[in-house]
Amino acid sequence: MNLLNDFLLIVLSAIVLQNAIFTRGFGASRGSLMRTSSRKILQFGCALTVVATVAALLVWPVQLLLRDRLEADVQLIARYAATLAGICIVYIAIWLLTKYCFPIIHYDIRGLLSNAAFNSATLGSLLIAFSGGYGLIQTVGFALGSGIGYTLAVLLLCEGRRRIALSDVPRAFRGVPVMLLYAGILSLAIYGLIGHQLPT
Amino acid sequence: MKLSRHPAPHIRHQENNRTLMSDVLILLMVLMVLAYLFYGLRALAVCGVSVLTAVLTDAACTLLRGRRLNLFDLSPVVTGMLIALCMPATVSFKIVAAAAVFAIAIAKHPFGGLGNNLFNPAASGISFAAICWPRLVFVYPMPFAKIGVLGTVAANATDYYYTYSSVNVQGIAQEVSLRLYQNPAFVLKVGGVPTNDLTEMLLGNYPGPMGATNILVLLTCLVYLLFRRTVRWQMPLPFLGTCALIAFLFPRTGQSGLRSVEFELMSGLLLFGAVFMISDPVTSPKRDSAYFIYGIFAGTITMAFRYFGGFEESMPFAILLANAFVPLIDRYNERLHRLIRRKQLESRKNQNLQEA
Amino acid sequence: MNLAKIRTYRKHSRWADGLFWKNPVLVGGLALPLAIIVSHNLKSAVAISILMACSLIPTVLFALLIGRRLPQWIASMLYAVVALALVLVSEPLILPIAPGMSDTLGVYLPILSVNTVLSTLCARCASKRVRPFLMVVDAVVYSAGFALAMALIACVRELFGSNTIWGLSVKFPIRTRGMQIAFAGFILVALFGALFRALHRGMVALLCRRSRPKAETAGQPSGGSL
Repeated sequence: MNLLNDFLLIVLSAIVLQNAIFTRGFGASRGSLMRTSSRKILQFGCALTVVATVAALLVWPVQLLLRDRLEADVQLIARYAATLAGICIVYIAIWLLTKYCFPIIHYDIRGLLSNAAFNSATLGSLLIAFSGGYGLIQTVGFALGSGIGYTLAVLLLCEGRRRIALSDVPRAFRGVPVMLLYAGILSLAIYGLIGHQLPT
Repeated sequence: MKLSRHPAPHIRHQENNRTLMSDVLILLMVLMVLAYLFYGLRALAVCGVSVLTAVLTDAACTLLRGRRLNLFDLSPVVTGMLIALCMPATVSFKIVAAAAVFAIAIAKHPFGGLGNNLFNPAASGISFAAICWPRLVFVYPMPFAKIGVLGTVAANATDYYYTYSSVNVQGIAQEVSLRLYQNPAFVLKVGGVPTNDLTEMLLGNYPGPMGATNILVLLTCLVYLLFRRTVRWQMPLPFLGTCALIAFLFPRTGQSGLRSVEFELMSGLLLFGAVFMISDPVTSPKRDSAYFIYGIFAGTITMAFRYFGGFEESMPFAILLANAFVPLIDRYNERLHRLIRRKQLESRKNQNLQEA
Repeated sequence: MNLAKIRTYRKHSRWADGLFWKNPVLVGGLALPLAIIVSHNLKSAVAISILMACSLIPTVLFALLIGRRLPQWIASMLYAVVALALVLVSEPLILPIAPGMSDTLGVYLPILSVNTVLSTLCARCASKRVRPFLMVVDAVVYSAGFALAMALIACVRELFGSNTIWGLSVKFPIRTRGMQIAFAGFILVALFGALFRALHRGMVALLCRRSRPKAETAGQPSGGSL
């Protein structure tokens, strides 16, 4: 019960307080700001979440081992390399698995899997969880929450885009800049939740 | 018969942007006079700086976009007044001006100006000021205290309090913390039970934002706006109801439910936001039923921000977040209405078929 | 309107496009995590720009080498791996700026290996129509453009945030810690992007007007089409 509580708490905090896009900027790019179809966003978000969660499961024991064995300065480099290697392994596994067992899914995700796996949201959330020294459950929860938070944030941005498309935006701001402003003001609102202990 | 040769929207209703804004502006003037009674000329100076900055920025942005100036557009004045009335009277002019510039130049014009802005400009201006200078925006002077009209006044004292509280500048620190602990929003955030008297709270005689403390006047404003139909009842009332319900069910720090409702609704910017910011016609949904959903949603978010947020005053942030969900609410509400309509048509068609 | 004139302008401006009118960060909207978070002071902005150049240019060379030979899905994985290796190897280059720089950058250091400037440029290498020389030019110019954008944003944020530039204190009336938070990054990138586009539009309009004084300048291809 306690474990479940911890897990849910960290998932929630990763979705809202440490939202990948709004508080860390991970995964913010032209692609995620300008996406139009919710179906595509959901597919992308699912791929990202699965990759992040499985990679968290896979890399966590390795980085624990590295933390005990290595010196401080080599440790960081080893952790970066191990995380990227873990993501690569998950990526290859998902690619081959879907290709030979679930061709329908493969057809849907083959275009976006590489973008989802090698995305700053995946790598960044994993590395933050590892550098925070979380336990296994918390790490997995954080990765899961980051993925979900990213997806929800992009869905919200997409909804805003539809509304902004109807309004009379000045010419210089059309497209990416106005979406960035939208994300910026949302990020301002979320920082209101964090309050006085702002990380600067 | 009179023929009109204008293109499509033939608006015969007397209500337009100017009447809506002037309705709100009259009420804000009343609040400003009250602030003057409580805090002296300083209150008027803060309002003046805020309004002037907002109007000038609005004019500059309009010209930059290559539009013609509309001298009768009262919306920047309303934005400026709202920003000023949510601040303490001791706030430095720089902060108010920065908030007004942010509200107009970042949250309003890049999104397409009046009628197109997705976020309430005043709420975003206040949130910007709160994020950037939390130490100066959330510390309020006592009512009827003597405050100089110009320059930075007691703001300095609060800065001392936060910077040197470990070094112990005893007198100032004690004085400021005394003032902080008379503000119910702060006390609730810290986890205490406010000790303010009920009549004092109704009359607004405690340290707080300039225009948002006088609960009785604010309620009168709400009634006036509802009566004038500037604001539909479907928005503020569900909002307040949701807030009250949540406060009743989950009281903070061991009060009885009713006491909790009383303090939550009366403390901070909640009622002010419900009257003037939630009901902003630009950033609210389109249909009446959507208003209802929006009110409930905004109430839930506001209470969540109050319970889990880091600041004692989180109303503007909650409004921004609620505004972001308005397009979503609108879209699904429209879809629901279409579904109902289609069902009705189908049933009518079936009836006709059966009769025939 | 004078199409020939615009064509020559386009031809010559290609060399500097990545720096200004097609700036990867401000106009293209790429590599935003770095531009939003890391640009809180000038030193880390410069450090990350150096690392960006060090990893981007060799990775594009690598992509030109293998991009057409391997299937896309394997290649995109290899780019990330190569870029991470390059970032880690060139990390000592930024240590002279400030001793604890790589700690300050923290998680954003490895993030460089998966940034979108890199992935878009490398993905472009796979097509048969690109000229390798121009790709390398693009890589160099994009790194320069990234550095320019980062420096601009970082200057503003550092000036408003802590009243310093490159660690030296400057007299400035406004000071707020708020400018160092993520939301300021979002808003500044947006404002600078809009500014660059407006400047570009103005320049193209000016160019046309000079060729035919009374011609209307409507309908110009501009940054707005991006």
